[in-house]
Amino acid sequence: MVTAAAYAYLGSSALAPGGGLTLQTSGGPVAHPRFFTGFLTSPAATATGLLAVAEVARSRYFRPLDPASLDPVVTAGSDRLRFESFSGCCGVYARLDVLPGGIDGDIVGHGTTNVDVNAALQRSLTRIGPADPMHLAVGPDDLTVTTFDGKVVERKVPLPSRWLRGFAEAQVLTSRFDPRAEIGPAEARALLARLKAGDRAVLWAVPAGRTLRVTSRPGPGAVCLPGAGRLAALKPFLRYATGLRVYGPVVAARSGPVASTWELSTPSMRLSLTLSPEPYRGFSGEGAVLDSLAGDEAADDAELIATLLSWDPTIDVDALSTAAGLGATRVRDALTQLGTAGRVGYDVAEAGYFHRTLPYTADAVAKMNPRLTAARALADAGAVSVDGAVAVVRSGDETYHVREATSCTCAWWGKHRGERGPCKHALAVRMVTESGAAGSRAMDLPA
Amino acid sequence: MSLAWESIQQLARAGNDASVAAALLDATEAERLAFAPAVEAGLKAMKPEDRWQNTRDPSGSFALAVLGTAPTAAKAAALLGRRDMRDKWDRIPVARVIEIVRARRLPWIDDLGQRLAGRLSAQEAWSGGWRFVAAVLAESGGTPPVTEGVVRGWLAQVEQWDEARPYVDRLRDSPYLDLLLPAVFEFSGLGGELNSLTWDDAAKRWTSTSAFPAAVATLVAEGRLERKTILDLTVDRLVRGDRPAFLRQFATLHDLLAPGVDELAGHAPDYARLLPDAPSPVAVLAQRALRAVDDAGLLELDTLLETSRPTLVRKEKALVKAQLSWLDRVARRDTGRVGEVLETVAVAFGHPALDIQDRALTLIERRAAGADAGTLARLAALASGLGGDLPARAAKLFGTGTPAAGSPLAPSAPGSSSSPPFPASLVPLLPPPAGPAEMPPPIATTAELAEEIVALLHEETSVRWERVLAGLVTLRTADDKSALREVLHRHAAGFGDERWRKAQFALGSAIRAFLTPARRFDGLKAAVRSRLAHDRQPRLDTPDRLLTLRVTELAAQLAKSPVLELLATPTHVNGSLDAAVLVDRLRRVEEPWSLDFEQALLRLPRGTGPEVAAGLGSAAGRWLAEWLADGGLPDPVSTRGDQLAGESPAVHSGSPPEVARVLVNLVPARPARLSVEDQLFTLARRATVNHYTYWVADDALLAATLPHHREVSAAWALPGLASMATQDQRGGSQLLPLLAECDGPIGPAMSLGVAYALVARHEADRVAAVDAFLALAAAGEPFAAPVGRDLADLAARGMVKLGRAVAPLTDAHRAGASAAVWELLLAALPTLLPAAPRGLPELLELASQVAATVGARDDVPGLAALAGRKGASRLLQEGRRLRSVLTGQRVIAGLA
Repeated sequence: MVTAAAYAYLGSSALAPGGGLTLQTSGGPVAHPRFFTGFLTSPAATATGLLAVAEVARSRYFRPLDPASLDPVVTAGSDRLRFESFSGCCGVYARLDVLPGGIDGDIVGHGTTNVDVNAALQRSLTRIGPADPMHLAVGPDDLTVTTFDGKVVERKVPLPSRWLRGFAEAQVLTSRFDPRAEIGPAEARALLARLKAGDRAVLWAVPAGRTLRVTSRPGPGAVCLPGAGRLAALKPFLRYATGLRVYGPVVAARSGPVASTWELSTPSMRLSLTLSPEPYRGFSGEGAVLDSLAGDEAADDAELIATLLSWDPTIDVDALSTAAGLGATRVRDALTQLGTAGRVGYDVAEAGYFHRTLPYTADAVAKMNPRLTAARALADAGAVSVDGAVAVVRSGDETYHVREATSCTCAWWGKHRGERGPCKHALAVRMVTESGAAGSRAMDLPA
Repeated sequence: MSLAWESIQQLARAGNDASVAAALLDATEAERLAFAPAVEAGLKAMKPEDRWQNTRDPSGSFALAVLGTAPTAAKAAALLGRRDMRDKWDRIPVARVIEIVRARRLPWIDDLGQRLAGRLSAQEAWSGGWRFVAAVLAESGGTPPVTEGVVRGWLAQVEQWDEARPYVDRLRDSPYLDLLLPAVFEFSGLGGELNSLTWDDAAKRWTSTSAFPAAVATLVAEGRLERKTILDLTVDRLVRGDRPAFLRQFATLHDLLAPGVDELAGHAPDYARLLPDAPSPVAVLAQRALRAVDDAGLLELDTLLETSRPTLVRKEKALVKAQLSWLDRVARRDTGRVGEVLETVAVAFGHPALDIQDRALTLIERRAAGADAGTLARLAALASGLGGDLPARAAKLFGTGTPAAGSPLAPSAPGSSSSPPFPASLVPLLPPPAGPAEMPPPIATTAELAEEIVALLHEETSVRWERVLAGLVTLRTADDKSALREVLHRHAAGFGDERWRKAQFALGSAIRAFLTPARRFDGLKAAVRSRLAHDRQPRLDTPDRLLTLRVTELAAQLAKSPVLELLATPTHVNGSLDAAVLVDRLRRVEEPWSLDFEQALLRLPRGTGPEVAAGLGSAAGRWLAEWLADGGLPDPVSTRGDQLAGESPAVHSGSPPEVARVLVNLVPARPARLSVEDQLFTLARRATVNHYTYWVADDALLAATLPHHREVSAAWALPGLASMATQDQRGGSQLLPLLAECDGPIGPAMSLGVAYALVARHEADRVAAVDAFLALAAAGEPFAAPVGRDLADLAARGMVKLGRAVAPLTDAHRAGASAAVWELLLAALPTLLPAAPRGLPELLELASQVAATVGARDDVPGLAALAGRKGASRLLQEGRRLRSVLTGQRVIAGLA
């Protein structure tokens, strides 16, 4: 399903000759929110990071046809700015976190909005030297908004539901990551230099001494290096970076390809790219969120938790747990659910969720996951009969056997073996076992 | 005459555009408008075959009918933009279009032009739809929207139309030059349109030089285009970046414009951005530009130093050397800030290439006199990154102590490396070999068995096959087999291909045998079938075929003479089977199936003593004891054999080498005891390469058939391994890490296999070779010297590209296998030095680094003579460097 994203900016973002950078905003808490006014302490590095985020936003790394054109989003938390983008192929997620040390000014509003990064702005951003602090304004000032009588810069671009789902799903996937390695800037440069732009092979990297060794096979402690050419957007930022950190899920020998996060950091900002497990795989099909969406309780909890979220750098699960009167596990489930709806993001460096509501209507889309829809249909049709550990699911003329509500005799499961979440038959079994014979009533998400 | 869809369609199919146009022109406007619904209905009713079953595609004529009748621009654009029409605009007869639109005096012709232009697709620009759109636009006098499709279409037309005239004239005369040319620079990816060949009319041949840059430069020189605008656009395009191939023509244009020093100075920040990060040709351009600005005294020293730091660690050595010599001049010129300049130069100490480090150190040696003590101290600290013979020179320069030389060559066995010759923080120790993992637990239920079979159909692995076969035997008496029945039914096609998927076909039969309860005559039928199969003498083309035979055996025997469990199911994922487990199974299975038993014997660890089988009473048990007492399965004799290029296409430019590759032949060491033994252990490669028959088996299946005789597996797989290096094949070396974890002596096939994989064409294969190298080194196998000798032999005889081995061996060195890498180099260099193949200087450079790490003091035959030769070639320099590392003294040319 493809809807459209409509952007409306009060003019184009621009770098004024006097040195002030104004990023125009569209959507979010209000039509043209203003989040920040103040100075950037390392303007050249921030500009390079912003360019990298914009590059990912307009790239398709798999089958590059029309460049994608969905704008990056910026989130203003209590003390930092986060710029995020998601590639058109749905396989690369980029984020630039400008930490408190990177900004010197006031965060005047909280929330998330789209920012315009146009070609002319990219041009001027490349020319920023390592000079004095530069002024940055995210969003137009109140005076401009109230007295504005010019022509709004409007743009409508297709918004595929898989893009939205993938964007949300990448967050949930990274919440299972741990730091795997940290290497210095020289080693990071050497590593990135050997990766070829068109490289689509899936390799692995293991920590070896001061650097990472590229290897052909996974093993404990390894990080996947899937389609390494997709890390190219990190390269310009290398000259500012003080180190490269790599995050990934737990892998063992004989693991299949998995996602990984590659993060360059400076004292005042972090630029990270998260790669999908294989270049042709978008995050949207990874199925990491299906478990938490299948429950009833989590939906209600999510509703409650959503009202309690603050704009702190990371969400404190314990504090939320106390405030909501729910156990920590339920709070985490609820956060996963909010993540799939695009209402929280995940910061691997801080190992915590952060409040961020995508300026798109994502709730409906999360429910529209094809596998979930199919599973709901099976559950509704009474196709599931559970008998002990093995359940039988009738789908059309075929009969499938699902063990422990997880593994199945269908070809899809045979192909992916859990690497991309449960199959529709297993989901249907879960729906039926978890909510009794009532079936799929449980599936509604908070609005 | 009234209009009728049938007659229009008939004319269109006959390719009679003129008559279609005439019919439309003859009608009145009212008649035409009244006919519009019929045209729309007719088009919508058409089937794809209505178009391609004609000798001529009628789409062009239909487009005339649309343009001749449509009531609005929106309707016309919608019909012309239908899926079956939109890629065929090049077939629309433009002259007739003009006749028709003029006759109709359409008020919405401009709107139509805009709409059609907006629908031009960027991917289909080459198909020529723009020509039609341009004609409509010309009729209305409107200007098209500047979209990527329009710009690409325009470029394609300028290039293809009227090829007899020079490109520059076509460009100059285009009415859209001013409107669309800037967009060629602005849209990313458009540089790809500019790379096509051009016809050189004077020389009467095609040239690979694009006409675009020269034409634009000419128009700038003529004053037709504004110089500043074009230069700004060009630099801007380079700064925003694109794929290197797409930037090529813009870089050429930049050179042709030959910007003056003032113009260059205006863009200095852009060039400073390009130099460290842009693709190589653009970086060279930026370096030249900045240097011109600097020569004119217009460049800030801070900009230069800031830009130099990341530039000095770029991998293009020529670029880095040019930057160093520039910095050298600056140091001489700007004596006040020589310290800062030298500290920038010292960034090059971090460059991986020793000749760059060398040059940076030489530069600092020359200029150090002008630096203060603080600078020298910082430089000394940076010098810790130097490799090869350079730390000694740096120590002399900075007056620090001579760096501790490594201890003498340490053997690579992990047990003996209690005191590593290098600090653990710098080079990691090899992790001890983990050993093969144990097999996952056996399949417990029929539902799980069904799942595994579905997974097996998707992807074969050795572990999956073994578990499924074991499951079919142990679960035969299960009650509920419905899951399996469903799977068999659902995947009938997957089990049905006897010719190409023999093992799966046999698995299908096995499942049927599993599902069917034994009936009265089953045993007899199976016996007959098995006898017939035996008479056909199933041949074992390759070792992994043994699996297919085992599945066939299972299908035949499952009902006839069921056993409690299989004997051959491995205990480890590499295929190995614990002798005690086999003995245990033999206690329960007195009459094993013959191939199952043979495979079990092939999987026993080397050196298993007969005592483990003591007490087995069955015939099979006694056989096992005898087999073990006899020493088990002896290794065959494996020998190298050259294969001539013969039938193969030339694998090298220049005169092809007579010998294309080296393979290995096998001869059994004794008369066979097992029915499959002779076939497994006999391998005679043909005399010439036959590129149709190199065979790639599933790696894990092959390795698991003979887990303790890896030399045999390697010999079978060697054509595939060689093809990665000699025929640029992809994905063959996954086998090597598996073999590294198997057991058995390292023979010619193993060492050749690793050697080929180290010089494989594709990086992923070389990476797997490093994995195998590290695993073998960690296990303390004496493999490195044979690999070195084979690598040197292949490279010296011109069969493989030596240079490819440098990066993987560097990786192995960095990962802690320095001792093994040195052993390899030491064995390879005596053959390589006299032959001096390409890539030898780089290998010598690596040798200097490795030798310094392990503290080697070996005498390399031929090195002294090389180092003593006069000259300054890269080979001689690196030869001297290695010599000085090995002897501990600086070697001067001509004095060896």
